[in-house]
This record gives sequence, C-alpha cells and structure tokens, in this order.
Amino acid sequence: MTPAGPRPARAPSGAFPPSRGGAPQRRRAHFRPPRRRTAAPPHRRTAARCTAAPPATPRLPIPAAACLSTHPAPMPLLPHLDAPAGYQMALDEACLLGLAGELCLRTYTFAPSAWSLGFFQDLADVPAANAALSAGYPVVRRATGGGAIHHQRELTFSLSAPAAHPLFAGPISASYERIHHAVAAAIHAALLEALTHPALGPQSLAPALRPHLRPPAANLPAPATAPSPRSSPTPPPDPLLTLRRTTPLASDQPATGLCFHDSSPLDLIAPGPTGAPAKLVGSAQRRTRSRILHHGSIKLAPADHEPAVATLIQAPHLPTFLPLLAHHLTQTLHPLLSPPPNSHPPTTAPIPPAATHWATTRAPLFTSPALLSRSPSALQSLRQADLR
Amino acid sequence: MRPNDRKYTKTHEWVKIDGDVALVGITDHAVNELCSGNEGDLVYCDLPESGRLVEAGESFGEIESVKAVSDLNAPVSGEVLEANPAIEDHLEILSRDPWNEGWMIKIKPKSKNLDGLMSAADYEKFIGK
Repeated sequence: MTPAGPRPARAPSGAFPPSRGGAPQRRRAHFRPPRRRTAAPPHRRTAARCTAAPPATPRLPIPAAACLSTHPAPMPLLPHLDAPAGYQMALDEACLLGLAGELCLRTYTFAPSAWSLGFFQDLADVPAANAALSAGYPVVRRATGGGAIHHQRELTFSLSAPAAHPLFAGPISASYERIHHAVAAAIHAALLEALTHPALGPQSLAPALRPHLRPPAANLPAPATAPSPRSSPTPPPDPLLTLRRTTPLASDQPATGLCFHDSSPLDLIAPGPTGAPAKLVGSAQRRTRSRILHHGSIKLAPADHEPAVATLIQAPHLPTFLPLLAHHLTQTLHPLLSPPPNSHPPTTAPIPPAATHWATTRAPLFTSPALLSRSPSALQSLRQADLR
Repeated sequence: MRPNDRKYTKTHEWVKIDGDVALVGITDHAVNELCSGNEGDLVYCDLPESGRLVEAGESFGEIESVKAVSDLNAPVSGEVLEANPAIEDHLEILSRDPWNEGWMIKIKPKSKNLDGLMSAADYEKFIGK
C-alpha cells in the first residue's frame, strides 16, 4: 500500500457519507458461513492434531532498515484510555488515517465491557455476542479481521504506521513475529515486576504461570523495557510465552466465532488454567493503501465466556497489574515504531484534537446496527474515510 | 517474469485492457504477502456488485487472510461490470493462477490510458525481485 500523495484535511461530516455511484450493493460474502470461523481449513486441523514437539522457534530480528528509522520525528505515546467501545474503534480509525500522528501507539480498555466482531464476521456466527447484543450489551465492529473478542478483564493495544514502515516490511507473518516477540517480552517484564511488587506478589499471578516465574535475579532475561535498537526484544524462556507454531491449544473450540477459541501458528500462547498451552493474545491487522493498523488483545484475568484461555493475574489484582502491564507494553513496543535515540524514553502526549474530534463524531458508526449487519452504506462509509 | 500484457500498481493490483474492458486482479507477490505460501490462510474476500462506480485508488473490496484485512484498490476509474463469481468460494484460485483464473473484477474504464501504472519490469524492480 502506498500513499496517494497529500490529501487535504477535512472534518468528518458526522453522517455516513453518500455512497458513490448510487449502486453500492456488495456481494454479501457473509451470507455463507465463514469458512475459518466454523471449521478450520485442513492444514490447520492437521496442525492442531500434531503432537510432535514444535520446531525450534527461529528468532526474527527487526530488519536493519527498521533500526535505522526513516521516521525521525519523536513519537509520543497516546494516553491509556478507558472508554466506550465505539469511541475506541473510532479513535483507532483516526490513528489508521494518520490523524493522531504518523506513528501511533496506545493501550486501552473498554468501559463498559463490550464485544467486538471481526471486520468480516456475521453477528449470527458469534452466538455469545449475538446474545449479548440482545441483552443490551455493547457490540462493536472492528476495522481489523479475525474473530470476536469479549473485552472484559483484558488490555487492548493498537499501533499504526505508514505501510512502508520497516516494522511491516515483508509478509504479514513477519510483522506478527516482530510484534509478538516484543509483546512477549513486555508481558514477561510485567510478570517479573509483579513478583516483587508490594501490592501483588506470586500469589497474585495466574496459578499456571507461577512455576515458570522466578524472581528477577534468578531469571535469564532482564526486563525488556529498553531493548537495543539493533536487536529484537529479549524473548522470555519457553514455555511461559511463545508462538503457537504447531502446538495444540486447550483454548481452541469449534464454532464459537471467538478469537480466543481459534488460533494460528503466530499466536502468542501461555500455560492456560489447566497448565496446557492456551491462547493469551489475540491479534489482527487492517491494511489500507497507505497505512496499517495492528490490534492486540491480552487476556488478563479469567472471563465469563472464554474460560479456557490463558490469563496473567487473579481478578482482584487486576487494577494494580493493568497499568503495570500497559507501561511495559508501551515501553517495549515504542522502539519498534520509533527506535532510539529518536524519542527515548517515550513520553505521553494528549490525543491530537483532530483525532479526538474524529473519534467523537464517528463513534456511533461502529456500534450502529447498519455496520453490525455490514450494510453496504456503512461499509462504504468506512472505505471512504480513507479518501477524505 | 510477470505478464507484460498488463500494468501494475504499487498496491499490488494488476490491470489488463481487453477491448473495452479492464480486468483487475492481485499479483502473486500480494498473495504471497497475504498468506506466505499457505493458500489456506486466505479466508475471505468481498467483491463489489456490478454497477458500482469506482475511482482509481479507491478500495473496491477487501481480502482477509488469517491475520489481516487488506483493501483491494482499483487501478482505474470506471464502472464495475462483473465480479469473478468463483473467487469468494475458491480463494485458492488466487494462489494457483492470479493472472488468468484469478481475475477479480471487470471494469468499464473511463480511460484506457494506463500511463501512470508500472510495467512488469518496473513492478519487479519495485518489489525487489
């Protein structure tokens, strides 16, 4: 995807822009069951049955070009935000459009808790989200793909950058490896800090993780809060946090439509409630002609609808642990987008007014019945945002 | 060597003029970036109905691989005449034959001038192979 040249800034209209050409009807691919949501393709099923030890995980370093940033402008962190689902999705759209800066990194939580559907998902294919909507809980559609997520007791992060940014160079899978290695390092650093934190301690952590964690002095990798600009973040020791590869997961379940019940080889996994490997982080990307948005969701504590997924902390300790993890996450991901010494250590700056205005105006779209049902006009509104 | 009977965009679509019709698809490089050689990783594609007007550079649909939704961008402006009915249920076509069987849409172009797009040789320089 490449930039189409400078485009004049224009305030959002506040309503769905009129569709072009008067005949925007779309082929409704979602009329048929999504093939991956309901049945994993053959190669995935084969992988899930595999009991052989996973192959050695090749470390994928950040390409040299990524360390010699072509984006010298300092990149401030956007503040952590606890806000409604529609606003969060609209603010991520603003980031995707570059309204919050050329490079964006932020963490957020949903208040109230909500469900998000993948861009292509049919609401009917996610029974739990469908029931939640009927019961009056907020449901939102993401611009990114993948399965549905229940945003309860979890931390979401998003990062966005021009499509030509070195972090996103090469196949999509390569960008996932780079980001997930950094996320694993951040989670590991947060868990180590929690071990000795006066308000947390070992008993605050998810029981399945405790055998894999020792106090920092006895642990192999140091917290990766300031990774070298010329190396990838230090990964934690297996099997605490690793990429799934061919590992069968206890969290995989058929036909729920939920992100955390489906998995791919690049998903970040950890010991789940039974000690068996389970999915810990859900991720998805949106790639437009000029920019890329990466979403990640980290499960923090056991939640109602996803009992088999891996989590990090006991629920009562979540308010203490969440900011700690958010701090490590931003400190570790920041150098991937804006390597030192350009803007290190990163500092937090207010959300730019143009992005705030966009998010406020567009928030209703993302929870609207029109977008939840993938109406042609609502989808066209999303597409035309990039042509503003 | 990629086909030189068509032109290429920097967003990895191709367009081939055939009489009054412009055929549009995505390149083998795009497919590889989406699914890293694993055709099963392509999971969804949304293409427009006939009659829709598209502008050059505008998204005419989306394709989803296991890990990303990517926009499909129109190389030329015009009216969508037809979408390939085989694509949505058989995404493996894109891996097998992105140049012929894997065409995505037919457009009645406003102009047949493709001067702003890349030749096969230029495209290969652009992607570095």
